[in-house]
Amino acid sequence: MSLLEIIIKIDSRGRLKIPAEIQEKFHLTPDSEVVLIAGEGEIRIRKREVKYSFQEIFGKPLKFDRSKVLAMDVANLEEDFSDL
Amino acid sequence: MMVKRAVIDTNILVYAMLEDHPAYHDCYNFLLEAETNFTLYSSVETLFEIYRILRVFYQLDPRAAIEKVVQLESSSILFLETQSKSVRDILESIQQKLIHANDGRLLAIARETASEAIITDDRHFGKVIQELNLKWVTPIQDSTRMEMDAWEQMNLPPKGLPRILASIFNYLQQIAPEVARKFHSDTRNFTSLPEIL
Repeated sequence: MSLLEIIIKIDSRGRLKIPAEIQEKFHLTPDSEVVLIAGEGEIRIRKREVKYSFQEIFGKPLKFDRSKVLAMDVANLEEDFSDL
Repeated sequence: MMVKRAVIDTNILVYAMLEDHPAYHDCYNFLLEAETNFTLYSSVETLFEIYRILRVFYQLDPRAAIEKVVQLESSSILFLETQSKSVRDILESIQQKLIHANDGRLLAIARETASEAIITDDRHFGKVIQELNLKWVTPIQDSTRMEMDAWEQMNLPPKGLPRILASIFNYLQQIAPEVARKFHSDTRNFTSLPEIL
């Protein structure tokens, strides 16, 4: 995705109007939530889109095979070194 | 609305994904509460780290691991990219505090987001967090931690040299079973390097 840079002004009440083009591109509709992340020298705006609740993700945990784990795959040996 | 902010580490998320892990219930229950009480942040790298642990340590099917990681990316946790301005701070904290690269990123994210706490079960990282006047939170109860130690001994290959030697043994078994048997004996059941004659 190409970067888009648009200069907008904050109005007297401290509000920013997100240009229609960006609203359309990011499917921002009334009541859409965005997150403002204020870092060093910049403010990022990210659309808040929660598709999965923690219950959906962690409520159906994965089951691993103990015998496979104990006979660890040698192909992953190099990666395993990073945890020593 | 202002809510409490916290940064979450890989280990808690991994434990909450594994059905048989002793810390599963502690982490899962904690996350259910945290979802409504906190804005949680982590790094994009955490997602890759979770995938690697699920694949390498727990030998899970890649499709199942990818699916879980992708779901997590679309959860209420905000996974932030590393800002280039934070690189020096991150590298210095890694070097000075002897922490993993992603832990350095998590510290930077805690600063950037003005988070008051970092949630992790890594005890060394926990001490570093406290030294930096942040709150260290772990959802894992002491009784669970004792259970985890015994469980890891039974279910995971031992850490460090024994793990490396066991991996070499597995490799040798595939290409030269006789050499593998000698290797097993010469390393005294993977407890020491074989002596060079």
